[in-house]
Amino acid sequence: MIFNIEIIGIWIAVFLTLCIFSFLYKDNPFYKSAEHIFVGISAGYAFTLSFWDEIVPNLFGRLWPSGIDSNNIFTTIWYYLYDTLGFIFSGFGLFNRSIFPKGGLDRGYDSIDFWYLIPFALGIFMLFRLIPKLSWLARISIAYSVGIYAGLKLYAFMNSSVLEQIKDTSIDLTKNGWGIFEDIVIIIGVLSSLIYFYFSKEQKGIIGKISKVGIYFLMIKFGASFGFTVMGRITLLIGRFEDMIEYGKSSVGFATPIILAFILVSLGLWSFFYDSTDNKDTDTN
Amino acid sequence: MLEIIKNILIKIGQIDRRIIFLIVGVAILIPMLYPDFFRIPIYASQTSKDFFNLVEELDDESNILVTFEYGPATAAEIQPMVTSLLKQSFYKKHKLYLLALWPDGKMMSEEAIKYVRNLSVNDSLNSKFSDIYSMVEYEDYINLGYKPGGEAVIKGITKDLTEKFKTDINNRKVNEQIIMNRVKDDSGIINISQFDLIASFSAGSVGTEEWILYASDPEDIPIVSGVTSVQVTDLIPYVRSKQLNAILDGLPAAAEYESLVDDILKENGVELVLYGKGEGQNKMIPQSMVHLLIVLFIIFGNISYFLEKRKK
Amino acid sequence: MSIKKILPILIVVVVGFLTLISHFINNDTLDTFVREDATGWYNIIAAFAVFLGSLNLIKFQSLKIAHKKRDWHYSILTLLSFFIMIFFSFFMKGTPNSELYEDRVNGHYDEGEIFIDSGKDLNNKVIQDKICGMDQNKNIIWDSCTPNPLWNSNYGNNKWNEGEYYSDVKNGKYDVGIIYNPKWDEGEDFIDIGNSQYDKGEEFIDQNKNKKYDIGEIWYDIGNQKYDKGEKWYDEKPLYMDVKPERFIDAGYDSLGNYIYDKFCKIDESGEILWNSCISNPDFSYGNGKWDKEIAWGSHVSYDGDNNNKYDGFYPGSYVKWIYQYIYTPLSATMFALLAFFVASASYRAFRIRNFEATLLLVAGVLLMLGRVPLGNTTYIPWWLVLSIYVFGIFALIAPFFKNKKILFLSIILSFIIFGIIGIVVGWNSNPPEFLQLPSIQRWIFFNPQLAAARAIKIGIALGIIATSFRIITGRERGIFGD
Repeated sequence: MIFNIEIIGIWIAVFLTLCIFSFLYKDNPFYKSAEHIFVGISAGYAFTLSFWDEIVPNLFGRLWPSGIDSNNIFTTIWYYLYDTLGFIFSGFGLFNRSIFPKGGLDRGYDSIDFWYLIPFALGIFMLFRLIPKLSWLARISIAYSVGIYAGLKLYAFMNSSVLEQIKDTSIDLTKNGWGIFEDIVIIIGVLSSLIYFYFSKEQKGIIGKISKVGIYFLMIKFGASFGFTVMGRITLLIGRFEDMIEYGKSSVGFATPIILAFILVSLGLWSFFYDSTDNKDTDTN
Repeated sequence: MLEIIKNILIKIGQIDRRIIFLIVGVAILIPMLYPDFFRIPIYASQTSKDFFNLVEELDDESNILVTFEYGPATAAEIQPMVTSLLKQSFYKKHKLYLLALWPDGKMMSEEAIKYVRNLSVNDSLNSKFSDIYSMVEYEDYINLGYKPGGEAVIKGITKDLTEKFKTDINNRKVNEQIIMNRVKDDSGIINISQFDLIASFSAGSVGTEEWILYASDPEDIPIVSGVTSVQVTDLIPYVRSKQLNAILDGLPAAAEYESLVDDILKENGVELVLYGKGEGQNKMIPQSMVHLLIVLFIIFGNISYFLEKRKK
Repeated sequence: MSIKKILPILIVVVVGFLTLISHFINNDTLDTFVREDATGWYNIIAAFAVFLGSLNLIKFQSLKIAHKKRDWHYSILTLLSFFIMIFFSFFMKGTPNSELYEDRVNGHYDEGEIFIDSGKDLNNKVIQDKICGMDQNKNIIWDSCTPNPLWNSNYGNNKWNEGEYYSDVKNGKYDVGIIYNPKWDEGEDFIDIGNSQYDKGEEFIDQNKNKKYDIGEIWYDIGNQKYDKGEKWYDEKPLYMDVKPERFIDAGYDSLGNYIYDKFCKIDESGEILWNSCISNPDFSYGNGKWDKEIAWGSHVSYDGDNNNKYDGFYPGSYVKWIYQYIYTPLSATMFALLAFFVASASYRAFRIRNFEATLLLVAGVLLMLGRVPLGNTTYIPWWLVLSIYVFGIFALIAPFFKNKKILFLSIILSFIIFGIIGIVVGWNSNPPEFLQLPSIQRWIFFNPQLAAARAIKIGIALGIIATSFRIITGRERGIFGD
């Protein structure tokens, strides 16, 4: 086994995986540490992706594209501002100008699109949520986001999720007897389930009876969802076990058995010496 | 005697859950460590056959848009589906256009191509899959890479693909590649209506539902999908209404589709040696074991519950 | 009502209506805005929302540490991991720099430049796949390149070969080629002829008095002192340079992780490489034979060095990628996978048949779980076991009608015997019917009753979204602002 950064990575991956699995025994410091690391790394990764995949190409790339001739005073000032930001965000010259490289950003745009100052401003308003006196400005950004989403989703859902679905909930008389029976079952199921969700009228009498049938269909659906969720989770678990088995080979230094032994011994010692009366909520039964 | 059995069953019903965790762990581990002891034949279901037949019945050299909306966490379920589609497509000489709407999807697409390219064939020459079926980049497939934006990207592609994907994963101009000439309309624009099929592999949002809502439905393009088991029940209404032409629901469907593709390749004299994350069939053994275990758990749990109720 | 309350509502209404009516109005500006910019702006604001979440995380974890609340030590780990990720994302890439190269023309090296593929046609004549123009500065105008209609894709090989024309473009990038310009350019000599067609500027008799030339009207064909298509011209000094491919120092990682070069070269006083002095490094076998440039900021996030290194032992990707592969992915996958154990435990300890609805849920779940896997096949779950499910199910429904439990019990036994005998006689042992096969039952349940309920839920959710969207667009929904 050659000791290199990839092997170190594998050992760390195995350690963190087994830390998470240690929760099956009891909530313990290994699990808590792994969980907190996960929160930090996830937040950092989401931040990174959002910045490099969205803000830099779609916002800064449009506001400060490369290859623009500074042929007027306004453009010159605009790019001077860009250089100032570049200087600040490179740790005042200590690091590389990663976010605002010299000369502008080459993201395929050949002119400055000043309309994008609007989402820039809306984005900054969003951040003001942290400052109580200015948090009302975040409402403007939320208003824009919600307005756009409401307008887009309304049409798409009306078409695909309502009209098409209702269109298909019909009896095709060209089918054979069994096919027609299935279509009837579906119509009854859809109607009775929808009636169950109708809370504007008290569910008694005929409405109550139909909604009872709807409940039965819904229970079948939830059972199916349960079955498929179990299936999905088991598959993910198999995937993890596959990785653990792969990392238990000699080529990576038997990472899995060694780290497993270490965690088991540590957990044992921790259980023995740790005063469990301080942590009553860790009782797993 | 009966009373003793009843008491044992009641006690089993109150067992510490850590014992249950251990049993589940062992039930998965043993078949994975000794796969040869637990061979279960795979019988393809109608949903998997529908998916397979749809790709098979396309004319040779059809243009398929393959989209990647999943990551390493769900690769165990979805990667076998993708690699099987790639195998079937290269065998049928379909032209593939790969793109990702998730950042991880780009990595998954590269891994899938690499996996299929390096698949060993069980012959005397130690051939690889790519030695037998052509897998030349820019002739048989092109990888357009990842583009952030979710639904906006899908909407943009419906008008002009090169607006969103100016360069591919190797930074080459998409518009200038020969393979893209196959999907240009009369005015030279590449839009989604030129594709014969969309194959979406997704593990969440943005995913199959968005492709149906914004691309397949409005532009009337056939779409097939491979999804995680968790998502399937929500997408089934689209299958019934034919908005989604075929679906692969989780690992069992992946294994069934894989077996169908392997069979057709075997009929053509190419027997593959499968390995790693791309192989779905071996994972069905521990999957089946745990399913049976959970059913037994439910039965025993309820027996214990009824006995305890009676005792009280 | 203050401006703080009115302004957001106004924005929601205006933006919402604009987006909605764009589906019904055929207006290019509106369509482009909604399709491109509106969703682009939304994504930018969503990205800032992610930043807000991260800042919030820092704020709350810092407060936890400051006030030494319970488990405050772990908050240090959270903050540390967050800042490490940020550091490697913005300040230290961990990817190799550009490989050194020989700058012949223009100060930059680039690979993958457009070239003119050439080959031999059926008459063995050299033919090119493109015809391109040049501007006055002899720079290729790549947008002017048009496919040569006489070109057949069988002629060339779609890659640059020694001796093929290529473009040397002074654009800050490396090229491998020569320009050839088979088009007339401003300034080149041409033979100006009357060309038997109307050219702008030539006199004509405006017969229909519409002040423009129309087909059929008499015109005076003159040499017009400008080039018209078809006139003979002289291609002035086709520009070419006998440029060989630029040399570069290929590099890669050896087995110990050292960055190693394929050549040893002398440098002059100013630090420039003396290319003629270079000799091969006998220990080198690690590069990829092509010039690699530095990975740009942004691309480094997903860069895993696949194209950069033959040796697989050393991780050549960025630090962010390493963290993603060995810390983030195992943690996230394991968090999801952990649920499998708890699902199994819940099935055992909490899944109880308390009433008819719970029974339906349980039976549906069990049938689907078993029917979907190969174990549900008739080889392992025989027809008589499935028959017993039917018998028990039917008798469970009609059990209230039986006053005497003994009769009920006997009826069940009798049913088993009768149907069992029928099954054996009819040959269900070797070929059970579909309704006694678990996978078929699973499929029927999945595509019929389950689908009906799923569809109802989908329609219900969609109606809810539509109703809420209407309320939002009409400004009646105030709770969306998070107050």
